[in-house]
Amino acid sequence: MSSMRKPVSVSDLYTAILALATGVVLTTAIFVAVKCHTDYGEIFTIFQSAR
Amino acid sequence: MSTLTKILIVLLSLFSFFLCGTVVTYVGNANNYKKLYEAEKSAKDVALAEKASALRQYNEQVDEFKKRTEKFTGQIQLLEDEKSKLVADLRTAERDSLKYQARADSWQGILTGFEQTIANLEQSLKVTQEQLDTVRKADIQEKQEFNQLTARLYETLVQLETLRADKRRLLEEKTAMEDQFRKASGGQTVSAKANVVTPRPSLAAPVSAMPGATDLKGLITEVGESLVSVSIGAADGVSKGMIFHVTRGDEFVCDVMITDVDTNKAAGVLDLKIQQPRIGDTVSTRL
Repeated sequence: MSSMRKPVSVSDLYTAILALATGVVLTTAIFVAVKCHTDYGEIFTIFQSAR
Repeated sequence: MSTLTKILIVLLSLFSFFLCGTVVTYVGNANNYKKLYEAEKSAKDVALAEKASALRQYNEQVDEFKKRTEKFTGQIQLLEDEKSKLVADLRTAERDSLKYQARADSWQGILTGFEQTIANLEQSLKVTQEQLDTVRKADIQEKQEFNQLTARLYETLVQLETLRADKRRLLEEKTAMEDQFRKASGGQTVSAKANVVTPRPSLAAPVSAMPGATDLKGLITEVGESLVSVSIGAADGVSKGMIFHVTRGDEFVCDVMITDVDTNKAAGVLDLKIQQPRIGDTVSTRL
């Protein structure tokens, strides 16, 4: 029964660091998406020149 | 949690921070290629429009240039024709100029010859004038001598006629006396008066003196270098040594001292010459 015991977090510090990194990545993704939508009106479509 | 897990969490977090910063920096500084494309597209459209306009203007200018070229070609042709004509005229004028220059040179030579001839003629005229004056002077003297001889001849003829009359009268007296002598020797009485028909010639009386030549007037008939002839002579009372005043209108010209006198004209030398006398000037003994 000893192997089924509930994991105990060693420290919340590393959890906070991971959360902060995740937040930073998400914020960056949102910023890039907003920027692409503002400049080109699209988020994922590659801009094509009208010939 | 193992130590390796912790290290990986820290590295993953650091990498995430670095990567997110890089992405944000790149995206924030990236160019807006859509705007750039639209701007370039607008510039391209403007350039195409300008190209079309420039091409249209180019075509218009080419057409106008062609028209001007044709027009100028015509004018050039006309000018070439006119130039050819002018060149021909110029050559004709040059030939005429040379011809007239030759004629001018010829006339110059002829003129020089004429001038030389005129100078010679003037010299000859001067010599001839001097000879003429000398001859006139001699002629005047000869005429004077001739007049004197004529007067002597007339005088001799008059004397001869007188002697003839005396001879006839004496012969008539001789005849009458012979008749009287015969009649007397024959016992007849005759009248003592002889029949003489020839009258006794009267003795020659001296010519009455000419009226005082106080105001003789005449005209100059001939003019020489220093001699002049006047229209009055010994018959008008002119004598050698008389001085006449030559006038022209109210102007005094010169004096003339008479050196040779003829019956109807006289000649003299100039004195107090102010002007050259001319034929027709008045001569008088009083001013």
